[in-house]
Amino acid sequence: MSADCQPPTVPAESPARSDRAAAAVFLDPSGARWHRVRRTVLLLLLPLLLLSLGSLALASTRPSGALPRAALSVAETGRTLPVVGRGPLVRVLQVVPGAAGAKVAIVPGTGMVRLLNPDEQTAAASSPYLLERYGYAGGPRQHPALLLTFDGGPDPKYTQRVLDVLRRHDVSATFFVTGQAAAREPDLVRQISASGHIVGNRTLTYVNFSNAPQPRVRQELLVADRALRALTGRRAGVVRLPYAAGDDAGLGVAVPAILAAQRQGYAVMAYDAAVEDLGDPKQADARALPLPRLSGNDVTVRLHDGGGKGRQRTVDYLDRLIPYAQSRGYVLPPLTQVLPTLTQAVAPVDVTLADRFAALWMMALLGWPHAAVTSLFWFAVFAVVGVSSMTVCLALWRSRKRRRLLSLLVTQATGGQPLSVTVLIAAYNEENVIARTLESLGASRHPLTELLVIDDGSSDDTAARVRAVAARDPRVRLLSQDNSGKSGALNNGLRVATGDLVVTVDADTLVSPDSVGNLVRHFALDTTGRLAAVAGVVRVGNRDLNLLTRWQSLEYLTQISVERAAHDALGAITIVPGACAAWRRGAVMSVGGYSEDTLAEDCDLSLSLHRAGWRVTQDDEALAFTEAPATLDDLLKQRVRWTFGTLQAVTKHRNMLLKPRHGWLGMLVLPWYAASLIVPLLTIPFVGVMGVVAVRTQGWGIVGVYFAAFTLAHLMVAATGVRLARESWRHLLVVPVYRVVYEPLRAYLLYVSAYSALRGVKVGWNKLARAGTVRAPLTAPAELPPVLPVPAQPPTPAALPTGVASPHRVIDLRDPVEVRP
Amino acid sequence: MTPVLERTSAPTAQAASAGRDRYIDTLRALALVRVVTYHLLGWAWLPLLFPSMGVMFALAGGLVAASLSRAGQWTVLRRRVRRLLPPLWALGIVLIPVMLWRGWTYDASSYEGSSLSWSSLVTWVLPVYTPGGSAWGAPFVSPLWYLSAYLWFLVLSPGLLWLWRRWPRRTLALPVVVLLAFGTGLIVSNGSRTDAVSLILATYGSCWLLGFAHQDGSLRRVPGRQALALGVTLIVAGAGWAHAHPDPELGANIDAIPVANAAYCLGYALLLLRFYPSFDWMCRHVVLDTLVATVNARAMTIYLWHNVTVASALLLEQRYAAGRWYAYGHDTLSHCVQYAVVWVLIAAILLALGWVEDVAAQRRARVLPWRGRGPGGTTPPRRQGRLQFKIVRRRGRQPHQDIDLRDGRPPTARPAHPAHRRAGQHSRQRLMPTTTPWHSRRSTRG
Repeated sequence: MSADCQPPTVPAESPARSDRAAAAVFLDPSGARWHRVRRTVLLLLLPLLLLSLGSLALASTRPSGALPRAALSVAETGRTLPVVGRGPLVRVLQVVPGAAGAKVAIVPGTGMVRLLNPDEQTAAASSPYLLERYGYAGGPRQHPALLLTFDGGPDPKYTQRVLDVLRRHDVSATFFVTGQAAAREPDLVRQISASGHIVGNRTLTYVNFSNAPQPRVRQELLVADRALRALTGRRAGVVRLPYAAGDDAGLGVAVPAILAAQRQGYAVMAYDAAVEDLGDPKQADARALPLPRLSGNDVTVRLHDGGGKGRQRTVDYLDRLIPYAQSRGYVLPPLTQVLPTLTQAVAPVDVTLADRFAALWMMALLGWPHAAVTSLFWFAVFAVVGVSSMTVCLALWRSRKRRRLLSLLVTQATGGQPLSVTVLIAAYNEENVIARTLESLGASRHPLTELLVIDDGSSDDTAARVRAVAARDPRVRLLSQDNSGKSGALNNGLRVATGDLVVTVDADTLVSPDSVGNLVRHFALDTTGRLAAVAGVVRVGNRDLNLLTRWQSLEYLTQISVERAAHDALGAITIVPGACAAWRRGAVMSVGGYSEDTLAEDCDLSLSLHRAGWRVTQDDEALAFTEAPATLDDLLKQRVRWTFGTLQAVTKHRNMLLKPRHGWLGMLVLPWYAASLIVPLLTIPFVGVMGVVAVRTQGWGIVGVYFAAFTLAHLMVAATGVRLARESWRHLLVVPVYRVVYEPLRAYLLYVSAYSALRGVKVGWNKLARAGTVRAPLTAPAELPPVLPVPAQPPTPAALPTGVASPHRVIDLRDPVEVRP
Repeated sequence: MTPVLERTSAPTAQAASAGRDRYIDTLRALALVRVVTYHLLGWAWLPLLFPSMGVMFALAGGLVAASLSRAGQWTVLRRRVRRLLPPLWALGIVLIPVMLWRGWTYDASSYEGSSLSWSSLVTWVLPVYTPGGSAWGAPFVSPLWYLSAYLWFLVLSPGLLWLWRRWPRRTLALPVVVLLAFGTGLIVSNGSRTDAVSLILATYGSCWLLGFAHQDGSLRRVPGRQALALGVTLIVAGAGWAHAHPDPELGANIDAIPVANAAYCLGYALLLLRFYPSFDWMCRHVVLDTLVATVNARAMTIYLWHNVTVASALLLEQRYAAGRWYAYGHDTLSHCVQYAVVWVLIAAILLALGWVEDVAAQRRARVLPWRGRGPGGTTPPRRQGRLQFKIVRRRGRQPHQDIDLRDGRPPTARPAHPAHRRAGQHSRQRLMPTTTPWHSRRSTRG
């Protein structure tokens, strides 16, 4: 061992179990913190909730000036009705017998009686209700009116252009806006109104009234009305129904929707001439769109100022339509001049508090989430695509650099000093796997000083199995202790170990014969003496069991392996896996050994080493094959431990964050890790809701595109991982389902960990039952032969700590035996 | 690998009775009779008297959970889908050509029929949505929503069961939350087929989960008074919701109001499954017993064809009987004649096409379902009595373990013959929900 290595300062004996529990990060046995958190949240949330509900209730109250409400339902009228009359406005009439056998119609809710002409009498004979189109003053006039109406907006680009055209020709129009579009462009809505145009109501979220229950219809109309009042200062009492065609046949079957609006006291506006201006703008230019037939009657034209793939066609068409109409003697006046019945419905009003609340709610529910989703989308693109690319580049760069380093290693290391190596295995109920693990280690090409198994109070046959191997292999030693956790076992092992280097291997992990040598060779190259740990590469040994193990196999190759390689390139490995790693014993002792503060003792130790200025690296050829959990329940247990443990470790070392002293680790890796915890924690529910909304409103298309983009990014990382690991390409078959498993799993783990941390409850070790299913190819694809041809040196009695050495190589710590020399 | 069998509790153990759960069978038969009656007469109080669909989903949920705790999910899925589809195909083979011959028209705006497209026809092969029909065939096709819902519940069941074992309350809340989102208008159906299926799944999801609770014994552990209070509360809540939010067209009929229907069905099924009377007395009434057994053995055929028979009965009566002996109309005599004709027609269809169900279940095809059965009107019983056993397995899961309790021996003592196993499958699947709540997942306890 090099001279400038700090002398191993053996930590004080492991504290008693109660102390250990008290030291754990996040632990709050009294529950005081949880109580405080709950109280604070309640104090903050309760007034907010009351305020929200109150304001929402106020915003949905009936505004002043609405038309009388018709108390009619589809049960009475039926879903289809005969259509009578002409005009852009639509309503349901009730037919009652009048004088002299003739029938008359009454307008429901008002008691107004309307006489029927002979044609209408015929229609009324078959149906007790009629759908009436009305509004225009009867007969042709000298200056008939053309009413321009626009749907689908406001659109930030094209609505502006439409307004410009209208201003140029000095004509008026009506714009029907949905609440969700208005919430995104409130200033544009104000501008439309300020330019002298009428803003109509196209409901809050464009729902089909035929399917919506009454309370929703009410909200859709009333809240939109109030919110538009707050924006424009006028009522929005005239509605254009979503999903309802304007022709007689289309209106005839839209009875439920028309009735729904009529019941809330809103006038329904259809149209006479629909210009099919939606559609692909590249397919046809505005010249191909036919102009409406203008025969001297009043006419209402429907156009779109938003929606579709760009509305330049509409703008061009408008430039043709207006001069054409004017040349035929038409005027294009405001709505109220042609339809005086609507004067009340669009009259200016005083904006009330309820109106402002409605506008606020509209913005909060339909405007701001849109903006938030946009920024989250870019964050996600950066997080997945950007970071993936960066990780891949770093891993590839490191791989090139490393090849040069390895050739250097061979030439230099041959003359190095021999370092004695102890293999350390903490075992708890591992009877199924321990013997195999020991045998795979025993076959190691690198000479081992000793194979030390710490039996952490197993209740099964682990000790006997170890003794059986020890009978054949003199290097195997068994250390028995009362159950005190993995950290405690490893610390005891470290204290007893004789080697300068300690290789830790999990009891369920098989290693290739070259692994130990590959790990250890880095210490020979380390001229500074600051190298504390070399991480091995852990692979899944039971890949072919089921989808879950295949998935994990890919994860080990990509997320874990490529990421760690990239971190190594930055000198910032955060987790040296306890399952397969070599440690400089003195270095580990100098930072106090394994800590029992966290469940991720390897992550904690790695960060402690970084903090003390030690260096950590990874060897790509030191392979270990672990048994991945094969059921969802086991996987969840393992991952809760990992996630919670890592959260504990990062919290414990939080003052390394953003400290230039710690290099890339402090400035990039740890901050990024913290961000990738906190951002999803706050946004997953919101993203989930918005995802559902997106699928419902826009279909699977947009979600499919995101999914494909993220899958491609992951494919890139996975391909790099497989290439660098020289593994089979069939791993990539799992890529399409990778995110489907990963995203819900991550969400679950984040919330469980955060909740456990806040609660301060003790998260158990949740050890898995081993099945011994690892089928590992035990030949590493190493290009280079293991270096350091050290002759085997059986440990001399002097090298062992006095007082614990026993001729049977079995140490029993179950009695309070002092292990320090 | 020896399962340790320990007898936990046998609240209504009747080891002597034949191997079929007569209570469950009676409930299913009642549900079917109610469905046929309701579709003929349309009385709104019939769904209140016996909410058939909720009860049927609760029974089915229990069956599927029991199968899943015995066999692997792919096996269960394959078996159950195989039993589901052939009867549907038989209906399609008859109905699709007739619909084409009558001229395939449809009216999208009033939801009568769907377009003649490949996607409509594919749903007849695999009903991921309600199979499509023409406007003329709409009444015959409309009951088929049950099949698509059942198929989706089947596919979702392994996941649901996992969730149910982990977080029973949260899982139970899932369909309720979705349903309330629909019911209060937070989500407005856009009229798509996906929405239609989602609404059905949300409506009957809690009943399906109730079947899980019944099967794993957790329902029976609910104290009687609590269960009674809860069931009555749910029933009253369902009826109250229907009264407060009547359907604009059909009024306060719970059948048309999903939230009301879900609450009512859940409460009703809760009471039926929690208070589990002994139906052993039925053994002594051979005719009744055989009738119930027959309806159960042909449940699928009756359900699939009943609207065809209803329409035919009305047509036949109008053409031949009404006006000749009495005025056609809605009087009692007319109803009685219609009702009788419906059941005669159903019997005819059972004779003609009932064997498809035997083929689907991989049994020997029989024209008369009660032939070749044991004295109780069933196939020879495989399991006797309603014993509850707790299976504690040491390690690992044995997906295909058959347990035969006739002589109380553990299953490993008797080598399960594959043919024997297949033969018993039928009766076992039908009686499953009542008999054995199994606690076989070591991982959730450990």
